[in-house]
Amino acid sequence: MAKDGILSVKKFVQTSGRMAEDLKSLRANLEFCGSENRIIAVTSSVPGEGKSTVSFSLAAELAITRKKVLFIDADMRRSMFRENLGIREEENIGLSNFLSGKSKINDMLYRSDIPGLYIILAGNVPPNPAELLEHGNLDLLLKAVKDTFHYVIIDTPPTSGIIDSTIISRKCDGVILVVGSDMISSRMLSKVVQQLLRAGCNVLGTVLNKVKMSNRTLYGTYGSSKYYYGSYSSYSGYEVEALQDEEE
Amino acid sequence: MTEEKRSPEENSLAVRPAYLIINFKAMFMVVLDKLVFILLAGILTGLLVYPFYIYVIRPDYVSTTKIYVLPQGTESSVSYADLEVGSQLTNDYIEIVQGRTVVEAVIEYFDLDETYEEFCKRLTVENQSDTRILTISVKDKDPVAAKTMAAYLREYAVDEIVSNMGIEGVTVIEDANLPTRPVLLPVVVSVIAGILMWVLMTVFICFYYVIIDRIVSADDIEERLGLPVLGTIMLDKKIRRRRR
Repeated sequence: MAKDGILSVKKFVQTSGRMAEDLKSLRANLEFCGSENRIIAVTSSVPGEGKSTVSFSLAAELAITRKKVLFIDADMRRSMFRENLGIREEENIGLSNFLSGKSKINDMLYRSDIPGLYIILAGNVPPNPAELLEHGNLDLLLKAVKDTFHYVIIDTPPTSGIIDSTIISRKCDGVILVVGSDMISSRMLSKVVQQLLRAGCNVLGTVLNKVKMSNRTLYGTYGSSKYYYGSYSSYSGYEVEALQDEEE
Repeated sequence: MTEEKRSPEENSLAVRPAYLIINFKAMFMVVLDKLVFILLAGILTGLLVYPFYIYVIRPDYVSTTKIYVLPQGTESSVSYADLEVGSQLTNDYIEIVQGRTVVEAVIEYFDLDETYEEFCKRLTVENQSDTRILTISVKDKDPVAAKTMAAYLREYAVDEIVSNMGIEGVTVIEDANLPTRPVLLPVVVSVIAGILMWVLMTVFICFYYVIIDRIVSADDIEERLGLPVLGTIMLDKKIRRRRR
């Protein structure tokens, strides 16, 4: 996989088709979030929402627009590259090694076959990922790379139950939440967002992933349906407010 | 379409919403998505109504007997006056047949655990219009019981009529029959029942999806949490992942 320090990842990125279009929109919207937000953490609520795919594709998409992008796989417990791209344990020198002081940045900075896209892997599985992130050299790392790269995209673990993503997101300029369609309830998402906000993270927004083509997603529930089906617009005026008790 | 976008601060991030906006369009869209399932479920429940009725609720069997309200012992030819009298008497007969004396006697004889009012629910006494024929019907889940109860009730009622009205006897036109086929729900009723269940299920599904608040579309995120959606990525079935 890694030949002379170059990781071949091109095959995992879609450059055409619907997904590519969706990613271009995402990239554009991210850029609209402000040029000061360049170190971006990506997290989700539960595993399986497609966070790793989205974050890596986003990094690749940014790189394609001639930006210098660093992708950091910070899911040290369950590395995306190890899982999906089949990196062997010996090759997996990365973040955890650096944070525990065993490696230097240059040792673990890989180039990829997408020009402009650089990658730092997760590293060998550590016994104490949360401590490494909090007390390790993460701040140093981010400071060092901030001036070198246009964007730093960090793939963090899902928020569910573990604190890693919150720790990382706090140190970044902003955090994006990947939400898998029809996977979680809005109550859970609300809790995740509140946790990030309370920790002082800058929640830039969400990315809705794995959206199925259905009437509900296609026509939406407000306004947009008028564009496609005029007959449905007659329903858009109906809203009933019902009182609901505050439960907790 | 005026739609206020709630800012993240005043939204459910810090404060939970105190009221719920029920969105009919959202529910309608959910129904559209699930239409196939709803149709199949509706047909299934419609089919289940009938067996449920037959085996669980168990229909009634009705046994009927008929008597004639023209007193015996009149001359061989029936005069107009006789018919007049007969017509007037039918209501009296009805009163006696379904009166407490007769009914409570039946209850006691068969040792039923019912009150007068409860038994009256299974008893029907009618006068066929333009005739002087009284139809007495008793219904029960057991056809034999229906027959014996109808027969006994009629006998007792006849005795009562004779003794009360001082006439010689009452003609029995039809004996209590042994019903072989139960009273069946009209098809209309079962169809309506099926449809009602179908509607209830539809409503339940809509409420489940809208109120139990799964996040499905970008609107859901923006409405409920006030967070901007930076991008939406459609599900690509071709990509297969090696998942844990």
